[in-house]
Amino acid sequence: MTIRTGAQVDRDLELECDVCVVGSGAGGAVVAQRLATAGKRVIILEDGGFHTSARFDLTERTMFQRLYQEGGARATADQSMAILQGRAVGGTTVVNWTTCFRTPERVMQHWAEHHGVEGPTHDALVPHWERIETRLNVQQMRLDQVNVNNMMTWRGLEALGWHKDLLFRNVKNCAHTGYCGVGCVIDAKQSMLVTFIPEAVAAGADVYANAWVERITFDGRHCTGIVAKLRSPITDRFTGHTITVRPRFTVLSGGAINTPAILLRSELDPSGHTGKRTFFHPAIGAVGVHADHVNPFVGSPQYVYSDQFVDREDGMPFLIEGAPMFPMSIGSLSTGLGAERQASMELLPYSSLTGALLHDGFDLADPDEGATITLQSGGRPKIDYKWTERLSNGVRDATRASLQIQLAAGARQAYTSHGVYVRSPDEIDRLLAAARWGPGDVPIFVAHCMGGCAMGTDPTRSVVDSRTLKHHALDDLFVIDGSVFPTSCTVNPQISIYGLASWGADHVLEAVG
Amino acid sequence: MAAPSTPKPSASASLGLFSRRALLRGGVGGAVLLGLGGVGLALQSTRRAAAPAEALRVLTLDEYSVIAAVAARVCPQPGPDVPGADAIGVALLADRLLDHAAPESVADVKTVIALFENGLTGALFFERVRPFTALGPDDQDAVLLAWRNSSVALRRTVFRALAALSTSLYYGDARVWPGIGYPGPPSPSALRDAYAAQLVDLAALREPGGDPEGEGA
Repeated sequence: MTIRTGAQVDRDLELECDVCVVGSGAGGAVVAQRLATAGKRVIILEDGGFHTSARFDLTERTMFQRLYQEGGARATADQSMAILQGRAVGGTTVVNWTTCFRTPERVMQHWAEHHGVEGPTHDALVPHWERIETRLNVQQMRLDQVNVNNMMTWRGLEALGWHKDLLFRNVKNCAHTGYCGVGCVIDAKQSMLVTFIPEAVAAGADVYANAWVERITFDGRHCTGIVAKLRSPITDRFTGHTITVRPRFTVLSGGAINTPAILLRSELDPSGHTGKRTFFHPAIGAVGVHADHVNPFVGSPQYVYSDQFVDREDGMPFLIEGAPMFPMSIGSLSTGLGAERQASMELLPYSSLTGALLHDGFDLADPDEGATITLQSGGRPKIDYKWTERLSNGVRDATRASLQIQLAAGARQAYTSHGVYVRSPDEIDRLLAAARWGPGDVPIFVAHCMGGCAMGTDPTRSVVDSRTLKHHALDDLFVIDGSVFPTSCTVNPQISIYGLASWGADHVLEAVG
Repeated sequence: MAAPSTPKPSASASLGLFSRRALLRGGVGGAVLLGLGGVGLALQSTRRAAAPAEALRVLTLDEYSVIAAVAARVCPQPGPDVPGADAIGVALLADRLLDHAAPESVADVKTVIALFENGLTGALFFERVRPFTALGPDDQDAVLLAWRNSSVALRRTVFRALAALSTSLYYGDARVWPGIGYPGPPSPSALRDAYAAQLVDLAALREPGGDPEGEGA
C-alpha cells in the first residue's frame, strides 16, 4: 500500500504474501497491477530507486546516474556495446523513448517454428495489446507533429522510394520536448511509474525500492524465499539490512540480464541455457550535416521508421528509425582531439541522426548467437556478446542505409560514428569498404535487452515453459519479462513485453487461485 | 543537492571503458602493459597540476593531474566563447564521479591512469620516456594520437576510455553548451507548472519520512 525506499527500512524484514514480483518495469508492473486489483497480496522488490517527475532535471549528467543500470555505464565485457537499461521504480519504461510496436506476426511464427514456443501466439496476445494500448494511450503520430530531425529521415526515405511510416507512442498531452530518455517531467509518458505501479499500490501492493534481489531459495520444485539486500538511495551502497519474502508464488521480472543473473546467483540453471542467447538490437546510424538548423535535441525522440530492410535475406535485417542527439553522449563519441572534436560538436544544431536496429537472434546456423550472461565479482552480471562476421556486415549495411538516407534528405555531408565522412552517395561503398567494422571499431549503443531465459516447451532447450511462463524447474516460479524472448523481437520491445506480461498474469492468477 | 561548484556527476558510459576485461582484450601485450600500470613504475615523476580548491575524494593529486592533462588536450582549447577543461574542472568532476562508482571501477581507472602516464610504457613503444604530464602540448597531442591510432587494441581502448571520460564530463556541463549551439533543456519547473493538471501525485504513495529519493534536501 506504499512505496518504501532503502532509507526507510531500518531493520531486517521477513514478509509473507501471495505473490512476490521482482522488478517493476514493463513485465513486473503489469503483473503486479493485475494481481493486486484481483485482491491478491503483492510485494514488489525493485533494485532501482523511487524517483518522481518532481525531481527530474532533464540533464544527462544527473539523470543517467539516477535512472540507468550502473549509472549508464553498463556495457558488454569487451566494451563494444554500451547498454542503456533503466533502473528505477517503473524500470526502463521511465527512460524509454515511448516508441510502440506490437511484436510482428512473422517473429512469433518464427518462435513457434524454430524455438518450440506454444501458448503466446500473435492472436492470443491481441486482446492483451488492445487493453494495454488503450490504458497507455498509444497513438500514432501525425506528420504535422514530426520534428525537423525526424523529418530528415522521412525525406530521405521518400527520396529513395523506401518504405516509411509514422510511429505510435504511449503519451498523453505530450509537450514534445525531446527529453524522454532522462525521464518525463510532466508525466505525459505513460510509463509504469505513473500508470500500473500507482494502480497496483492503490489496490494494496507494497513496493520496496533499492532492494537488490540477491537470490531465490528453493527446495525441490518449490521456491522457499526471495532474499534482497537493501541499498542506500543516497550512496547506492548496501545498508546491511535485508528483506526476506516468503511468497506462495514468485514472478521474476528483472528484465533480460538481471533475471538470468538472479537465477545464476541462485544456482538454478538445470538446462544450462540461463543467460544464453541474450539479444540487444545492436544500434548503429549516421549523422547528416544540413545547411539549416535541425536542432536534433528538440521534439520527441522518434516519429518515423522504415521496414525497408526487415525482410532482407542477404544479411542481418534491420529496422530504420529517426533518433535524437544530445551533447554529453554525442560529445564522447568523437575521436578527435580538442579543436577537431569541438568543430564536430559545433555542427550539432545542423545535425540529424538516422538510426538502425539490427535484428539479432535469427541466424539458424548459430545456436550461440548474441550475448551470454555470467557472474563476476559481487554477483554482478558479466555480459559477453559474440561478435560475428554477420554482425559486422550488418553494422556496415545499416550504416550504409543511414548514410544514404541523410544524403538523400539533402545533407551536405554525412558521417558514421567512427568518423567516416561522405559527401555523395558515390563515395559510400568505397569509404565503408576501407573502414573497420569489428568489436570496438564502431561505437554501438543498445537499449533493448531481450532473451537469456528463453521460453519453449522443451526443458532441455529452454528455461521457461511457454505455455504458462513458469520456470521449467520450479512449480511456483514464473518468469515474465523480455528475458523469455527466444530471439530479439525486431521492434522496440515495450509493447511486446506488456502484452506477454498481461497474458502471463492470467496464468499466475489461475495458479494463485 | 551538491553545491553548484561541484555538480554531482553521473557515472557516464565512459567509465565502463576502464574495465580490466576490456583492456585485457589486448592479449599478452595488454597484460604486460597492465602490469606496468599496476605496479606504478615510472622513469620520472608526474608533473603535478595545482591542487583543486576542494579536497580530492578518490584520486591522488598525481592521478588528478593526469586526467587534467588529458582533458586539456581532448577538450577544446579555451576561447572567447569556449571554456577550457580546466575552467570546467573536468578532473575534479572525474573525482566526484568516481566517488559514486563501484570499488572495482575505481581500481580499473587508477590502473589505466598509471599505465598511460607511465614513461616506461612510452619507452616500450619507442615514443617517450617522460611521463605524459611532463610533455609539451604538441608532444602530448602526438602521444594521444599514437594511442588512438595504435594497432594494439589495448592502447586504442585506453585512449577511448580517457577521452570519453573527459569529454562526456565536459560536454555534459551547461557552461560549454552556448559554444556548441545547444540551448540546454527547458525549465523543468516551468513545464511542470504548465502541465500541473496532469501530474500524477506519486508522493502520496510514498512511505513518509527520511529522504526517500536519496537526492539530498
